Amino acid sequence: MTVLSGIKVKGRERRRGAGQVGYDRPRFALLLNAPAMIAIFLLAGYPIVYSAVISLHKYNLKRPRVFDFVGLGNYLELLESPEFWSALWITVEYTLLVVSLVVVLGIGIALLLNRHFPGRGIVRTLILVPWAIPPVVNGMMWQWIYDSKVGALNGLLKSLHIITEYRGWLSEPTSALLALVFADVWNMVPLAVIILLAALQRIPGELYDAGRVDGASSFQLFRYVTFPWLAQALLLVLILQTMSAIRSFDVIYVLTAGGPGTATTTLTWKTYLTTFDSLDFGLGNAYAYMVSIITLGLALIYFRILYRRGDFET
Amino acid sequence: MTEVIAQSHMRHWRQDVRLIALMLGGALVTVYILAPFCWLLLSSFMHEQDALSVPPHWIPKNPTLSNYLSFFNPSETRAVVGSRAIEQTLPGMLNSFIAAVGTAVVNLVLGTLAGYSLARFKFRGRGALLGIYLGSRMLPGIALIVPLYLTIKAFGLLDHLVALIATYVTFTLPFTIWLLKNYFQAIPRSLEEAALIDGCTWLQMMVKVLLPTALPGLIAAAMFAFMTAWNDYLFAVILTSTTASKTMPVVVAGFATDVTTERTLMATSGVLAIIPPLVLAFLFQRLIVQGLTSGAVKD
Amino acid sequence: MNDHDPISRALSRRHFLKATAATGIGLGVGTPALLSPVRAAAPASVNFSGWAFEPQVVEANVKRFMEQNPDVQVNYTPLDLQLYNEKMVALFSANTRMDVFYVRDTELGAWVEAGWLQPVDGLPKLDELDKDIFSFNREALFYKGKQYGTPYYGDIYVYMYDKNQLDQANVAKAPVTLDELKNAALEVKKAGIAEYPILKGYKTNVDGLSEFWSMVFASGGHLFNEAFEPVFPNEDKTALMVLEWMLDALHTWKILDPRGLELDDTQVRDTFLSGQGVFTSNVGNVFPRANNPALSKRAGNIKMMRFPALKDVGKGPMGWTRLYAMSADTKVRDAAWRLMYYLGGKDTTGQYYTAKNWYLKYGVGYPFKSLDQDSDILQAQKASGYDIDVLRQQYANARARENISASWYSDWDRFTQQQVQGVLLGQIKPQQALEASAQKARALKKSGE
Repeated sequence: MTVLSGIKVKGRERRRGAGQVGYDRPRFALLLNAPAMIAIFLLAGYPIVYSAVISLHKYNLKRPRVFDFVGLGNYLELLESPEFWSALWITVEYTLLVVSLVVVLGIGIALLLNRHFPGRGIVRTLILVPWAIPPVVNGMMWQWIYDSKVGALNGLLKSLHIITEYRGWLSEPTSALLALVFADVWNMVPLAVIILLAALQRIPGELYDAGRVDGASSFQLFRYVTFPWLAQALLLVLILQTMSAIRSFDVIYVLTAGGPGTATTTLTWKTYLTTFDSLDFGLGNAYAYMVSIITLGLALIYFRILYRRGDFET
Repeated sequence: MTEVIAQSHMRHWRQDVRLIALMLGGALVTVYILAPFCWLLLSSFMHEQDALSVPPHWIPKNPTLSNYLSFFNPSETRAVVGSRAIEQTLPGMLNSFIAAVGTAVVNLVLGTLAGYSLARFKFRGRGALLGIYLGSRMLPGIALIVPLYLTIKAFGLLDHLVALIATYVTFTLPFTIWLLKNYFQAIPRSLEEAALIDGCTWLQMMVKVLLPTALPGLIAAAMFAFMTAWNDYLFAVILTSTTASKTMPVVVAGFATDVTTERTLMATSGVLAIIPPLVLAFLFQRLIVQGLTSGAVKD
Repeated sequence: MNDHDPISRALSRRHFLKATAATGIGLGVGTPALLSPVRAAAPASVNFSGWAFEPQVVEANVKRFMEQNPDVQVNYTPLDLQLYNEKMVALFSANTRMDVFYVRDTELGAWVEAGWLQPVDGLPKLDELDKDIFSFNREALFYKGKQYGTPYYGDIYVYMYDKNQLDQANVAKAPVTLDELKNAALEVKKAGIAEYPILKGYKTNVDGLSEFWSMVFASGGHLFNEAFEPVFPNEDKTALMVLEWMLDALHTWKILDPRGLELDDTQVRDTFLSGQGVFTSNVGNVFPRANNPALSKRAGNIKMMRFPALKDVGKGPMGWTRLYAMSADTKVRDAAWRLMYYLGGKDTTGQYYTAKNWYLKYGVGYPFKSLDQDSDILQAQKASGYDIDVLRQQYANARARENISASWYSDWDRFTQQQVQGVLLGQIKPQQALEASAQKARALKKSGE
């Protein structure tokens, strides 16, 4: 399908000639990017450079006179510390769980909301509720739900006789991590649904009709019609969710403060502790750059896998 | 003859089953989405002490509107602490709204220009630009606190909503651009070519033809920008300090103090916080449908 | 940023993107000294910040100060209570002009080392003020022999119980030692009053080690010597025994609620007041509210006991302090000091107006000994159900945490909280956990020198 529609558009373009419409005006193209570039450069430029410079120095606010260039020293220190590897592993678990749950739920709900059924409009609006709750409020809300002494979840499960006594969901390492994941997923699913739904709505209905006429099964329709059209949106969702999961801060801040023990101390939480608790800006920014590098690496992998699929024109 | 009727019965029956399954799915999603929120909603109608009862009262025993009324008449609150947070809630909502709308509008303008260019033009540096946009958002927010504060201070914009809008724009723009680029790419070039051949200028073509067609994408992008701005806590704490620019999440967090947490008031402000985005979503919901149909007509 | 800021130096030296570097260097120009302190005619203007606990009360206090001191103009900015330290770090990094602000004793050493504070030694009436400050509060105002502030408030960590429920379990006398506490808790458990009689929060938090410190101090033990060298877990075994008691209370006797691992002091307080648990320890200012029927379901039944110890040696718990401090580069030192003296000491009529006001309104502990005799305060204390003798004994024997003024205190505190959580989770033995904590202290001390 993709190939077909690609050829169709390209063919038309070749016939008319790109010059006529003006698709080969690089200066105009750059000009259109200028406002965005300036905005990003003005505000993001300095922090990115600042962070990079500091991460290459020994610099602790508690010793303001020491600002020594140590090259990759901070990075080596961090790679040698067991705390980094523990935080990395927790980050991987957390991100993997959040992203896969968001993607699965997101696709499922988007497919559902793309079908016609009575009440669809209401569900489509309600789906935005979790997203409209700021993460810091979301964290507090879930804290009250999970609360081991007065929480709603414990109350509910007990009244349904699923548990016999209130449990401390955030008191045990594994369930604390899972509790964080669920709270975050609930908050993030709507964004995935919106993006995927917007993409689903662009799929021409004729493609499905044609597919059905050819006798394609539901799975085949999804695999050969829906998925290619969804690939770009999925790429966006994957990148967004990965970034937001890796850098999750508000929820951890409110719900677990990295505990119990170090069970929810992710790289981002470690960045926070190193920077603002220890005031070690050198090492803290090295942590921050490690987070960036990992995120960027994952983004590139997603690209390799998904970018070429469903990219219709380029 | 009977066979045909049976077949059509069969088809109807199948459609019914499918419809019921869809509605069941819809109900399931609604429960998943609303259950946690309901707890927030219920708490907002409770007295502080009832909110801590075991087992929880699923239906508030002595429901009260006092939490809501507090916000409209801050001087008569019963709160132990946090009366300042009560006073700041409504101004905070207004600030949040301005910041969020501002972020969404700037995003759409800048994002459309850049997104269109990346979707349609082939030029050197295109890949690099895409990379830069994405890369500019990789640092965790916590590492940005100090340098961003320095930057905003240099521009003299501390405690200004403009600072928040500018900050949120840099955070959201990369994705707005990506999103819109994808969206524009899926719109057949023939549409705009026809308009250009008809004598439209580029700007006219954009406003009259391309943007209406891309409405669902634009709305998704606007929603994304709006929500990111609406939800941010970290940077609002760092960059604002007075009622002139404090946003909703910052105010809500103020209900948790060293001395006590005013749960029911916090829940109430949480409920208030989601009303504006929901109203907008409801309006957008119509627009998305309109956008789709109008796009289809022009195609 | 000014020219001795290492970051802007590095940026300009390395010729990083000129525009961004310029952004950095341009900082700090925007805040010229508005007023020269020499000129007597114009009022001195003092910028004052603090975390926003009840800012309207602070505003009223500041207004009163300005009425008493018409030649000083105070600009008060409440900062958000959450992320206060983070915001202050940003403000200091940007050389924002702040003259007077709140500091937590846990951060004092770090902030002095960062060059953000200046000593107040020798300023008018300070010596006289110091004499009336509880010793544990006074200790917390000092770093390396110099005094850096006046006290905003100070409090002790308090152990409390529900008298009614102890009666029901036929426990006649409030426990004093940990052994008695264990027995009383077992009685309560046996009587079916509570599955876990002791409710205590262990979630990582500022001051999260308060109970641990308090039990060690009450037992007459030490964690650090005067050189900030750890004496635990071997030289002084108190800490180890306390931690082993906690572990037994949780796993062996099952009298300590395991769900406390996820609760912080605020959550524990709210649940305790709503009727859960029989014993708990919390910050001192909870106590008045625990017996206020408008705010507590068990008002009238909550009593304070001496902080439980391994053996009864007549000591007290830990106490902590929040202080008003002055920035290193204030241009209005005299006016700033007058504000600090008014807020953290006396007003022009010689009253401890602010401290007394905080106490009567919110039960926030006062740092001045002579307020013990104040009739309003005495009345309030009796009304909140304090046993005045126990209260006085605990206050008189309260101690500041031994390494509180080390610049690495909060770093070590957080690490140790994680170790304690690890012990309670059964991931690590008490001995190992404390060895690791002591090791951490030594490493932090070494890297700070």
